[in-house]
Amino acid sequence: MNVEEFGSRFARVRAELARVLIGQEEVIDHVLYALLARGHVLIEGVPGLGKTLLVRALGTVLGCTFRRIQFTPDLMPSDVTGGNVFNQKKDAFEFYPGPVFTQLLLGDEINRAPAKTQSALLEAMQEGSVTADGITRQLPRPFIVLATQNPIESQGTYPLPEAQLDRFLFKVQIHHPSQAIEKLILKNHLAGFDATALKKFGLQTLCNAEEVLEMQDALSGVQISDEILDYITDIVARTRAYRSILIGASPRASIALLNVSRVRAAAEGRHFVIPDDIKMLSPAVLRHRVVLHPDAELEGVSADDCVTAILREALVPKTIAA
Amino acid sequence: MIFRLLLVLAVASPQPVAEEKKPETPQALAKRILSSSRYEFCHDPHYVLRKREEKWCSLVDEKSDVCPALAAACKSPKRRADDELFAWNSQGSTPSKSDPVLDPAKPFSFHLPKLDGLAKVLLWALLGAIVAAIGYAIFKAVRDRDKSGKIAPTEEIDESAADVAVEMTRQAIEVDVDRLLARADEKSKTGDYPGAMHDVYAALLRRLEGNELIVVDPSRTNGDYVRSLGSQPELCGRVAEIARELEHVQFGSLQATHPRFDSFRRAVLPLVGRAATVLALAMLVACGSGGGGGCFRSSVGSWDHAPHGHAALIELLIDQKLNPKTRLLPLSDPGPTDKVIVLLPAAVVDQSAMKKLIDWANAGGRLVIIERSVSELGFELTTSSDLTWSQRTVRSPSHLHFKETKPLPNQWTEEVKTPDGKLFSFAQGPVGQGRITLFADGDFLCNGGLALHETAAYVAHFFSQGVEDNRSKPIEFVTEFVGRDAPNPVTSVRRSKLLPALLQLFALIAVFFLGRGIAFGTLRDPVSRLRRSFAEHARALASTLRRASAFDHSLALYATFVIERLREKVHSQTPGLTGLAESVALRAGRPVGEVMRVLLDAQLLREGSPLKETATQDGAELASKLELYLSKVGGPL
Repeated sequence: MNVEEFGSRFARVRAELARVLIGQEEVIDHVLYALLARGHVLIEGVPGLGKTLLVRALGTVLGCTFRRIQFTPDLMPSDVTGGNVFNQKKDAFEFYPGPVFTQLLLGDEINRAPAKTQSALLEAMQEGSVTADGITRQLPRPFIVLATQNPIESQGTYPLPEAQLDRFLFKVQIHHPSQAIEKLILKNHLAGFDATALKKFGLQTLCNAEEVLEMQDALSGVQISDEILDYITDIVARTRAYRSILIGASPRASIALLNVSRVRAAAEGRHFVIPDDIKMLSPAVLRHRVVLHPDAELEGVSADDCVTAILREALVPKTIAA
Repeated sequence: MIFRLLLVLAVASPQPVAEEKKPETPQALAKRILSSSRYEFCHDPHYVLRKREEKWCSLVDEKSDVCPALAAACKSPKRRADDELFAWNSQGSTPSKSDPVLDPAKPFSFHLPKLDGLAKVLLWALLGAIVAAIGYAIFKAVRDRDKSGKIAPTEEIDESAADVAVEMTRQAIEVDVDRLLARADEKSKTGDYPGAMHDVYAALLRRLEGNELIVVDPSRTNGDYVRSLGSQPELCGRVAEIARELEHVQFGSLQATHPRFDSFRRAVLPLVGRAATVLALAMLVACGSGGGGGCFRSSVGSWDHAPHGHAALIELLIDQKLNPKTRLLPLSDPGPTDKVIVLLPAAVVDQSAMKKLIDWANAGGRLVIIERSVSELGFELTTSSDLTWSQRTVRSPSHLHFKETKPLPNQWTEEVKTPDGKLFSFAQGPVGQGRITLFADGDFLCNGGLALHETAAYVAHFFSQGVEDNRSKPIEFVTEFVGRDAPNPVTSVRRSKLLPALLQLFALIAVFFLGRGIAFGTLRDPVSRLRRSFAEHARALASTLRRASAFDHSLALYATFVIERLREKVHSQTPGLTGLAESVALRAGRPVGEVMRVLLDAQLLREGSPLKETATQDGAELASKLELYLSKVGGPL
């Protein structure tokens, strides 16, 4: 597959998803970027904004399987990964795969489960495999975790550890739609839209899992110049020296930025990455990978503020001077 | 203009069919044209007529409603003889000695007041002082500039590194669109096509920034600039295409070649040069509104509205749906024959130009010659005192006639002859495929002439005759300005007599350049302001404290400073004041009790107590004692 075919297929998938997820183009883009860059997405937003619908629609359009886990304080790791169960007929333990054995996994309100259960996802997200009783089992490909967390409720929640946060390619903030968009959503429902029957609504399957993998492989044809690498490392290095940031982004952030920028370039039909790719994707890649200084947090400084300021300071390669 | 607008509105408004408007007669038209306030001589009874304009007075009808104020203006006693100021336009008019000269203009002259002795010395001293002050101001400006230019780092620097730094700075701060384009061209000549494309794109961004569409910043990407142009979709799309091509070269595998640079430049230039293009188009429209092969003016505004001017004639012809223009191009090439050329009396036509005009008429053109001897055709201009003017259809006050110098061809006709038949004022006839018309007297074509009885009707009829087949055919009036184009700027300046003004302007620019004219010369960094000395800061702070009546506060600050400095000087590590007071008393040679009391007061002030609660209660005394102690133990530093 060449980059042009990549771009056209991406555009068709995007347009199809936008039919049901009205006004959430940025979220659709980021989810598709993450899927094609073999990453995962942490979505922060209040309930009722279409997160489950997004995964359902994504599974339908891409022809992939999808599962949903509602994270609760009593959720056990085996409830996620699955486990060995004794089969009396066969007189042997059999592995019953958990919901993680899917291609698209929605982890709803992931911060409501204790750290032990959250960590059960670590191997799955990083390695694409699950180990139970010493046996490692590969997860189906492609595999993407879309985890959600509610930003307003703090009681009874377990904030995600930094190690797990770092494994999410993007942290996407999803906001309430505007009044005009909400009116379009209502009209869509009046027209008979049912979130549980997307096929009936006419949502088409445009590709399958193999074709998604093919798209992932096609990214190797996208060039990245040295100047772009310098730009990436400059931005990430600045997060480590910025006054309001206690712990800056890790090299994993640089790699994430590198991978996802290639997706964006290919999605726009380009064989090369440009600085705009890096700049546009940096907030979503970096905002959950930096730890703010306590003083800055008290002053109300957010990670987005820091990243925005860093992007204002970083010099774009081959730009004209002011 | 307003009248035309009203006319259009009147035509547009519904009117009864029975009241269909009759076409306006030329006389009514002339009356309407001259009713404009621009023709001041027709409305102001006190209008000051020039001497050469007074000749209409003998013909003007006091009861005329076409130009009602002209008769009164003729009787006004404020007339003055200043024709010498307008001698360039006085051909054909011969001033008479009998003309009244009521208020001859005096030449301008300036005389110093007649003073004697000391007053005269003082006056000259004052003038000398003024000249010296101006000279000193210029000298001081030059000297200061030299001084500021001499501020340079004292340490030696590597010249090559400095050159690189200067070049980098130039590269970084170049904001001028033209220089960026020129730099791009230079780079393309050296084969640096990526750099050239970068500079062309930089020029585009600078142009957009100049138009306040974007803000250029080194942290902004091309995508940011394109998104900034979102309100203008067409421009946004074109800039996006340009940026994408540049990025393909900069970050992709596309090779920058000369053809690619050329196409890139062609894509950018229309956007960069939009303002220049608009200006050029505006100039073209302004210049070429007359169409045809030259640059003509048909605006009435360019004509004179005085009695001897021709504005009314032009308005009359325009209202007759004719196409009058002023010819500005020289007569050496009259152009196509599908037009009428009218030689006004003031036009400067040499023999070769006249020959070319006659050849042009032979080729099919229509030539109208006014108030000019034409030896080639056998006419000589002469003045007649014949009073049969009053019987003529066309009235003109100059009494000019033609006299034949050789027999005319048969087809030629002579009209308005004197009773003896030797002189005539009008002749016309065919020449080759064209036609020539001769008028002995041109005053009937002036604004003043049109104000007279039937002249307007005759003029409208005459010019309509020449263009029956095509009323858009140009009627080119040749004025005194034709053929007077200067061959070079020096001649132009000489003719316009602008040399003194230009010299003064250049002198002013030179003085300004010497003083402040950075923008005129080679680009250089602006002179940085010297840092204010610490003493100035201290004085400013003291002034601020004084204005705020913060004496206690400032004294407390000073006391704090002195105590800390004294501790440092005497190496007193003990927390209390006793040890410090003993040490200071020992070094200053003062009693310990006194020193202790002063230091205690200083400590109280330091802790925020008011001055009145101290033992000294005199701020000045306390400050002077603290200063004394400080100086005795080694000074403030």
